[in-house]
This record gives sequence, C-alpha cells and structure tokens, in this order.
Amino acid sequence: MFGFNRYDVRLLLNLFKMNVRDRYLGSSLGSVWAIVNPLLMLCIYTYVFGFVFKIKLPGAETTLAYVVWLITGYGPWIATTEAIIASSGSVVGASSIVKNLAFKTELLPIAAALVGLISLAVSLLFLLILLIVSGNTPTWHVAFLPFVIVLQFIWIIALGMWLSAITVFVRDVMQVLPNLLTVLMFFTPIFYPFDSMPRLVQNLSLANPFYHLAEAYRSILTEHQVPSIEGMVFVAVLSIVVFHFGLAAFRRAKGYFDSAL
Amino acid sequence: MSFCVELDQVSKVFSAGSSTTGDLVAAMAGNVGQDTLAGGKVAVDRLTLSIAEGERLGIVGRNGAGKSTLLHMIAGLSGPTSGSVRISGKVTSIMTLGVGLRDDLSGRENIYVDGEIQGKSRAETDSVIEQVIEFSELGEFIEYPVRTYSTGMKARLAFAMISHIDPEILIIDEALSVGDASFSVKATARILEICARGKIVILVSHGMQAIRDICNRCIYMKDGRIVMDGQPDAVTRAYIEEVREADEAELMLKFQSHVGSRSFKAGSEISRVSLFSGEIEVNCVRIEAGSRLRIQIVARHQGIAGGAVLRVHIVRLDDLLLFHKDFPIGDYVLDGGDIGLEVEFSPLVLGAAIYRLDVSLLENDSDSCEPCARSATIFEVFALDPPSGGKPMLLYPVTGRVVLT
Repeated sequence: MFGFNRYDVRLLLNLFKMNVRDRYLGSSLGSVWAIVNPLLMLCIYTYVFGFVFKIKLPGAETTLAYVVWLITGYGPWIATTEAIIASSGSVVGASSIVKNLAFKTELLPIAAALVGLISLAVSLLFLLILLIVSGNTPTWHVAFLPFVIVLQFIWIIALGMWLSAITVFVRDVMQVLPNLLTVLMFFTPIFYPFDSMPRLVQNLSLANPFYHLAEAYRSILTEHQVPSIEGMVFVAVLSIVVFHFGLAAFRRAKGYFDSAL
Repeated sequence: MSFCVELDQVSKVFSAGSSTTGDLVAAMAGNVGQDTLAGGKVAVDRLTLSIAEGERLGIVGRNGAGKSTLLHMIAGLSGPTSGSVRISGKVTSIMTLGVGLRDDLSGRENIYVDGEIQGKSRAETDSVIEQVIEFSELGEFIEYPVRTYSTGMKARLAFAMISHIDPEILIIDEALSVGDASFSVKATARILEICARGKIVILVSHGMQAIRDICNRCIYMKDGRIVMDGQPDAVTRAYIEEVREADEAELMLKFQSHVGSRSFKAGSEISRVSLFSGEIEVNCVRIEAGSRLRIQIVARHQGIAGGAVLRVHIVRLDDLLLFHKDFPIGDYVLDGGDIGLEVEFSPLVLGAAIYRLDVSLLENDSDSCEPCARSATIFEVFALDPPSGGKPMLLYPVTGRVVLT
C-alpha cells in the first residue's frame, strides 16, 4: 500500500523504537518525563481556566465538569502538537542516516509522529481516572476511540509528510511551528465551547480537522455519543488526499535531501 | 535474478544559489531542468555507465571529480537531476562508519540500534552479535557506554558492525582503515572478503593499491565524466601519471620564490641543475621514494685550479639539513672548461616530503666561505603506499628473503 511493503513495516517499528528511546530514555529520569510533561501541562491549563477564569460549561455547575471537558480536548491536542513537531523535524534530525544509508526516508516522519501515541496514552489514562472519579464512567462508546485515534494520526502523518520535507530546505519551519500550533489551538474549540466562539471562527472551524477530532473525543468520552459521521468522513478524506500528495512531494524531494542537509 | 547497475545520461547539478526556498519549490515540483538550476555546479555530467554482475568497479579521480556524487546516486541517497539510474539487486552502502552511534548506550545496545537502522529484526541481530563483538575486540568494554570509548574503539565498533553484512551490490566510499595497525590489517582483510562475496562492488578510493587489490575494472573520473575505463592497473597508472604532472606544475608555482639561480661573482655561475628519476630520463620534480635519483649540475667558475667546491645540500622546507656534501670542482671539469657533475642517489632514501636542493659554488670548503653562485630547486618525494602513523624522515629500503638453512 502506498508503495510500502512488509520490510518497511519492520523498519518503521525499528525507527519508532529508536525515536522513543532517544526521546525518553536519554535523560536520567527517562520515561518519567513521558508521564510528567503532559500531566504538568494539563494541570496548568486546568488551574488557569478552571480556577482563575472560573469558566463553567453551559448547563453544568461544577468546575470538575469543565476540567474533564477541557482535558478530553486538550490531552489529545498535546499529543497532536508533539507528534507534528517531532514529525516535521524527523528528516533533519536523522540527517546522518539520511545521508549515509539508502532506505525509505518517508518512514521517518511516520515513525516520529507515532511517538505522540505515548503522550496520548498518558492523557487518556489520566482522563479515565478523572472520569471515574467524577462519576461520569465511560460507556460502550469508547469502542469508537481507536477509530478516532487512527484518524487523528493519519491526519498528523499527512501534515508531517509535507512539513518534514519542507523543513529540510527551509529550516525556519521548526522555529515557527510551535507558535503556529499555539495559534491554531486557540482557534480550535479546545479551551472553550464551540458556541462561545465568534460566528466567523465557528464557520471556519467546520473546515478545521482538529475541531472535528476534538469534538469526536468529547462526544465519545464526556457526552457518550457516537461521533459525528460527517466530521469523521471529512477528516478521513482530507487526510488521505493530503497524505497522498504529501507522499508524492516527499518522494520527489528526497533526491535533493543530501545536498540540503 | 541477475544483478546490474545501469546509468543512462545521468547528470547531477547542485544549485549554486543561496535560495533554499527555490530549491524546495524545484525539488517538490520535480521539474529541475537545466534552466531552473542554470549556473549551478555540475557534479556529474551526462554520464552513462553499465556495471554487470561480477564486476568490481573502482572509481578514481581527484577531489571534486564527482565520484561521491555518482556513488550517492547509485546508492539511492540522492536522485539525478536528469537521466535515469536503474539498479537490480539490493544495494548496501558504506559511506561513513559509525552512523547513528548513540553515546549514552553501551556498545552492545548500539549494535542493536545499528541493526534497527538497517531494518533487521531483533533475531537477525542476535544471530550475529557475538561475532560482531568478537571482531571489535572490545572485550568487556562492550557493556560500557560508547561515550567512554576512545576514537579508535569507536571506529573498531563501527567497523565490526559492518563486518557481517552480506551484500548483493556493495558500495564503499573512501578507505576504511581503522584502529591500530593490527586491527587495520584485519579490517582490510575483511573488506576484501566482503567484496569477494558481493555480486557487484563499487569502490571509491584514493588508495591505488586498494583499487588494484579489490577491483577488476576501474574508471577514471574528471569533471563529472568518465575519461578512462579499463583494467585497474592501466587506469590507476594513467591516473597517477596525470595527477603527478598536475601536482608538479602546482608545486613549482607554489614554491616559485624558492627556485632560481644567482651569481654573486663575475664569471661564476651555475647554469643548470636537473633532476632525473627512475630508469626513464625525464626531467621531473616529483620523485618516488626509494627510486633512483640523479642530479646533473652544470656550472662555470673562474680559476678552476683552486680549492673551489660545489656544495650540494638537501634541505627540508622547515630548514632541516638532510644531506651535505662538497665536490671539489677540479674533479669534474669538462673539455670546454665547464664543470659537469652528476650526483646519484640509488636509491633515494628520503621520506615523503617537499625538499629544496641547494647547490652552491664556493671558493673553498670552509663553512664561513661566501658562495660565488647559488642555485635552488624544489622537488617532492612521494610514497605510493605511505606508512600509517606518521611521516618518517627517511625511507628504509627493506627486502624480505627466505631463510636458507
């Protein structure tokens, strides 16, 4: 599929293992940071929006309900941010092997994006505990969760394909990207409900895959509903189109990597 | 399946401009034509080459001739700007040793990482890991983090990692001499062994001996084109010859200030100093270490009858005097009254370096005597297989013989 075979899957797994090791096992506390980092961010935003600004969801009285709602959106977003940044820098970061070994370099952004799964798992676990504590135990709808996660990562990989190849030639991408993602985060209904956004942004959000993904997580985990089929189909189609052209562009550009790295 | 490498009209142009965005657009659009990269540096120029199974191809050429670029394209590390590269078989390329060594991990873990980069499964790495460790001769250090290794140890580990590859098409860039002398011998032997197993071997090296040992075909590249293609012996010889000529011209240009003849006293002059090397009497300034060197000096001097001498000095460029001898001119008078002296070094035992040959004409052989005339010439001694580990001042001519008991 897409010009990949069985050996590539193995190499992808190997690269994934390597990324995880480089990211989490290099520092002395190692894997502890994998859990602490997302938790720290979750705590800060919970404090700021839940206790300083005291945002309450329409129809809900407690702050805890807001916190749960926030984390259902923000947890997956942390994973998204990490995955997109890692994926974009993957080719430049692996320049020594790109320049010396002949292999399918298009596996690099994929393997790097998948590292985001770890922080996603941490967030979801944390969320699960919160849900149980708040008495909002998940229902059979969580069966849709793997499906949403797959969609989320196909979309991230599609973006990563473009960004990682562009970064090789224009290194500035890595400087701009974190801020750009923060801007994007505030244009996506993650900290506040869709309804409280200006009309214009609401309309734009319908074209924003991150909005549909955040809504899907919330439907499944806090509202116990089947995620919006239209939204999911939109994300799936968009992802596959962007991925298809991204992969083609990447494969054309990879012949020039060695002179730009 | 038969293995082959076919290149048809392959060109590679590196953009000279600093516009990386331009490169990006060109690369992504995939239409990098001559016009997009006009003014770029042509590294490989419409090169057509076909390598059949069983061929072990050596590539020689000066720096910047396009050897590595060509190799990168065959290895699939970069794409050609135009033309097509067709390869059947699995390519294994060794461009740099120790790619992806992780400093924080132990030697053993690094072997697994290397396997991962190569796309091997854990089981495949397990099956060779003990051999790799044994080959590296690292002993207990294999369990220590690589950051505690010396450079030599790292190199040994890196080489050991590639020592168990089973290549179909093998590409090796530059010499792979690593570690101390004994390990280097072992490594070279292993490279020969790996090459013998490969169905197709492509080797870029500046070591002519390596090319002659390993290859059965050799191409000489210049300015991105193949200028010669044939038997390694013939091609390497032609290459060395061309390089020598070019180097000589360069050498003379560089040390022009050292070269020249001056007369300090009317009627006294050194009119000619020529160097002859080897059996063929060619005037040259580059001489192979251990060959025969003859120096011909023609001079003129008033009052030949006196105790005047021709003093021959060989001085290394850092002013270290290596040879000093006075020749009384009375012994070398020619029929016409000129002085003609030939000095022969057989063999020349100077080590590889650049030397200045000073010839002076003196009234007597005392050290304080001012010269009547002086001439200086530069020459370089080179060694085809220079010893590793330093530059010896002298070349020791040694021969081995069977012991007769």
